[in-house]
Amino acid sequence: MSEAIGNIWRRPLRTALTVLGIVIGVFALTVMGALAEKLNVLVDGGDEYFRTRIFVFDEGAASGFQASSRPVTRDLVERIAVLDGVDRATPVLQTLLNPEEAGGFDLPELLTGIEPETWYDESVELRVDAGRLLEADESGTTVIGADLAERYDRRVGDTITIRDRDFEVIGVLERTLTFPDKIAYVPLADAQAIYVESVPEAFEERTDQLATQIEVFPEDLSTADAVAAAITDEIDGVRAVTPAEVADQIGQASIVFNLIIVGASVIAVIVGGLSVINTMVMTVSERVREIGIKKAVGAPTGAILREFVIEATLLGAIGGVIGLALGALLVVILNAQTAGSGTSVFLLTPMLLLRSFLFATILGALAGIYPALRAARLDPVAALRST
Amino acid sequence: MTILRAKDLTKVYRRGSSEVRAVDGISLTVAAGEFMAIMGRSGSGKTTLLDLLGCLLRPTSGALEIDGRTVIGASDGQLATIRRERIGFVFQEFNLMPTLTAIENVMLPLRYGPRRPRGRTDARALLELVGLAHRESHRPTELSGGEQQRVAIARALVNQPAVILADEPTGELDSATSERLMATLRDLNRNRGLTIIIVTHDAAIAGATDRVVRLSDGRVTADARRDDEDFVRALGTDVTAPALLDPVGFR
Repeated sequence: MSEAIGNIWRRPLRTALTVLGIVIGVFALTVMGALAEKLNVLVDGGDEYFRTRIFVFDEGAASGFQASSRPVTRDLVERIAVLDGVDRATPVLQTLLNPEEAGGFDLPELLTGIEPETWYDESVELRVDAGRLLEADESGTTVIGADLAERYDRRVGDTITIRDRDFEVIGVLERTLTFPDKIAYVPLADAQAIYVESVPEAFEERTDQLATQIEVFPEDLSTADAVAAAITDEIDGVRAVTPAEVADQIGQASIVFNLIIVGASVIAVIVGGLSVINTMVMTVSERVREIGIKKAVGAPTGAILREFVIEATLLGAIGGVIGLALGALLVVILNAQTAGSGTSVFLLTPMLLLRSFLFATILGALAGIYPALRAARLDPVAALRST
Repeated sequence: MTILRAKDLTKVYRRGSSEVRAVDGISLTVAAGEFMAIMGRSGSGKTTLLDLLGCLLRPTSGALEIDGRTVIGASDGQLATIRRERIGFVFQEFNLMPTLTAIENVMLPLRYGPRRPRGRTDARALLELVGLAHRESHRPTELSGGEQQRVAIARALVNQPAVILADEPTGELDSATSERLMATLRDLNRNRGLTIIIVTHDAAIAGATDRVVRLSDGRVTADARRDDEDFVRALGTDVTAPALLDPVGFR
């Protein structure tokens, strides 16, 4: 082992370049990985959050979750509630918290108007970190997600201005790492009042009817698909989206990012692996004589093999640690830069760090096998007498 | 006691359609405690014979026994073990590991054998024996040629081998250093009963040993001991023979 350490310092420049190859790979892997981790948490959390509900949108609504969706009217609630298999239905009005701030990588900040008496139940897993949840028949109050609390620096009892209206923060939610972190929940009527200002006048007279979606809680989750189909059939002009479809939609994004990770890994394998193989092949040909000496003094094939694999593994591990450190550093810096907006784009997990390190180390070891085999199989006489 | 017994040892190299019989049916018996030289011109087969005796090379045919162990038919791993446990090599170019210190070089063979808790102590004692105790943490580049060769001798001794095979051990040393090195080998042979086989083309070196085996074209042409009449002839034919009469050798 100490000889392996000594050996990789014999050619510092070459070692540095080889390690750089691995560093680049692991760096990419770590950064992309942190991106995907974050996304996967969002997706998993999203699944969890949406799992219990069917969403009913206006037929013409774009993708369902856009703030520009065409509204539905709350009279649908009564029509849906009587259908078979429906436990209850509740109107929800969801719009962007800051319409001028739309876009960006992360989830949007949302204003969600709800009817507390019909919306909350044990299937909606929202818990307050401080304060309380919304209750029926209140107004001018809001429960905000953890990210919003952080970004706007608001605590229970503070006042927050949303779309030019002041709301009293009565609760801050526990961090969920997904949608609710960026949602301000307000009573439906307040949301309707805000919403109506941004939609055509035609709706104004029916302000109290406005909703962007009806959320339907089936009696039995396993029948969600059938219930959704029944809603679409029975009621004209709406589209019911099942929890599974929602999960699918979110999952698409996750697949893309997981593919990026795989892509990064493949590049890391190619760049890092080839540089290790190349370096070790050169190293072996430089040390043919030394290999011959070792064989002459009785080193068995396996010992020579092991020595070179250890050296390659060491290259991999060093590259891994440096790449990991640089990647983590970048992630921390980028997260710090966006922290002000309550957003973090990356999530570094111990598992990701461990995975990147092991990846580099194993890559080094594997890439070392071929050159090590060449070394171990050298003919002792030829190796000894080589110049 | 016989330490090395070769019978009809033959090594044939094929180069395309031609055959080179580098070692051509050599039979040789070496007793424990002998101090001998294998002489011959370049191409006479002496290096190939050394490689065969040192288990670095497999013979094409013939039998070889070292310290009671049959070498023929041994696997690569078994050959490595024989080299490690029974044979100590000393080479013309010293062949020390450049990255290791003197004492680490001496301990190199121990790395491949069973753990030896007293390895470092033993290695230190051997460096002392060859007069280099004060140089143990120097690397080869910091040592003179003679010192490097002494380290190599200490390394060859570390596993208490049955035989030391030295390939032109003084080839890269000046004559004064050569003499001192030969004296060291001589002492090891006399005082420790070590069996030493030196391969050389140098009559002065061979003449310092007790037995000379002369090779030509892969065959033994003379085998004489110090008290035999033809010892000097075995040493000297090469020196006096007209170059034209000497066959062109192969390496």
